[in-house]
Amino acid sequence: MKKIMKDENINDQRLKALFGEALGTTPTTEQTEQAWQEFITPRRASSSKRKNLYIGITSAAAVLVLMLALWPLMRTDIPKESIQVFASLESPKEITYTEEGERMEVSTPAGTTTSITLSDGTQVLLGANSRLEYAKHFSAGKREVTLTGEARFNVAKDAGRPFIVHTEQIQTQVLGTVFDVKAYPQTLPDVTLYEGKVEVSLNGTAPRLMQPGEQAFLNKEGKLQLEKASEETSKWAEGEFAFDNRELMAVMQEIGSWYNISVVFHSRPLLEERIYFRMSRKASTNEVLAVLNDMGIAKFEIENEKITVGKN
Amino acid sequence: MAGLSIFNIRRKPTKEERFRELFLSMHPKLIRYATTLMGDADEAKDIVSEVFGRVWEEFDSLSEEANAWLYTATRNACLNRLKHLKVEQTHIEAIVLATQADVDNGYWEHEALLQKAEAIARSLPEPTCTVLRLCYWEKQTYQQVAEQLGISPDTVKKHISKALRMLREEMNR
Repeated sequence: MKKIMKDENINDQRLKALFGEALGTTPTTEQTEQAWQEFITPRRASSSKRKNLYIGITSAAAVLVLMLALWPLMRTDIPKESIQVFASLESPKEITYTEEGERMEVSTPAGTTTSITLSDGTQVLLGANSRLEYAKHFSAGKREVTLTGEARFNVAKDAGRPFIVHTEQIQTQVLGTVFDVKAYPQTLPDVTLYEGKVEVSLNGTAPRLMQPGEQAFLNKEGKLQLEKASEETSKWAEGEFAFDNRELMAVMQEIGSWYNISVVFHSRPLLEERIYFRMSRKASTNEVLAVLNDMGIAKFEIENEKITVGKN
Repeated sequence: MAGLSIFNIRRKPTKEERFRELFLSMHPKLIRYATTLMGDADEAKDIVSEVFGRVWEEFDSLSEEANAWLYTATRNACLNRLKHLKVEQTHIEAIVLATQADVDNGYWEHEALLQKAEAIARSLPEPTCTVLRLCYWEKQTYQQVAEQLGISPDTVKKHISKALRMLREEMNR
């Protein structure tokens, strides 16, 4: 008798919990995406640092520097909110060319761009902290390159051989045209088209056709979205930082990726603060931060080889 | 990435990509589950993110059992947290009882039962549906629910026992 009572009790408790859950509110896709970003961002930063550990182990000094870099991660009490919007990358001290048989690779350091002419006559302007991999001689069927970072492509016309740019997430296929691809690790990639026509696709999904003046980017839901590009987008190739009414987060990602320095915000509202800002890319990091500080919107500092953005 | 031949582009999904898929499908479910157990959305958020933190560390060894593992880990974390918060023992025991069957069978039928419960809940008349939600999702007492809806506590009890009887019959069908 007692056993039956208990069984009934169990079933009722289970029923109540089940209906509580069934009638409860499930988080939206956007809330889940935001939770994902909050979850993965600190883990990306710490795993790339760990990779450094094995590379840098030969030099005691390098290990010491790394310990210092890891120190904030090892602390358990985080005194203030920290949102990393750009993590510095491993990049060479000078422009590096690697040749392995047919395979070519060019890597750029911080604050530098370089021009490359491919075997078909296509011209590439490779941005800072970026890497382009390509074949010394393209095959008869198609022309394929792989990009990490940012580059402008002025593709030689060759209707018989499509030109494909592979990045971590977005693939761009063209016949002959001018366009920019931006695909730094840990930031949302985008493609901007200036002339001709290109097709973009996300990890092999159905391609979408872009028109000149359009920008394709990954939105927060992880989907490919097409929009009219703003004019300032093209300015990077002219050696200028140009932001008109842009969110501070995007501005600082671009500055971080040019100088290859991590950027951490200590205030969430500042991420969405919009600013107007133009400056030559030849300026030093300190000069750029001085100009930003003069605007009085936020406090920009360099701490532990990172740019920090906090309230005034 | 460095050693990648440009003609060998089709790569295996990275750990992050595989994990993202698991996270996006399971995170909302676990939040809702933990909120029912905790009766508090903020606590549920902390617990679920801690559980995912542990899965991230062990992800390579975690296979198709991942969903069941996540539910069980969330349930255990909730119970530990409630103990830590010094919640009344009877309340904790109620949760242990409520989740025992799911733990015993590895959560394999939890989502199926939940779907059935959702379908039944949609067909419940008002105010029964609201009464159930206030009592078992928002964890209000019969007294609080009675005040909020402007009915007597006895009426609340009547709605609840009528609903439970109906739900039992429907679920056993």
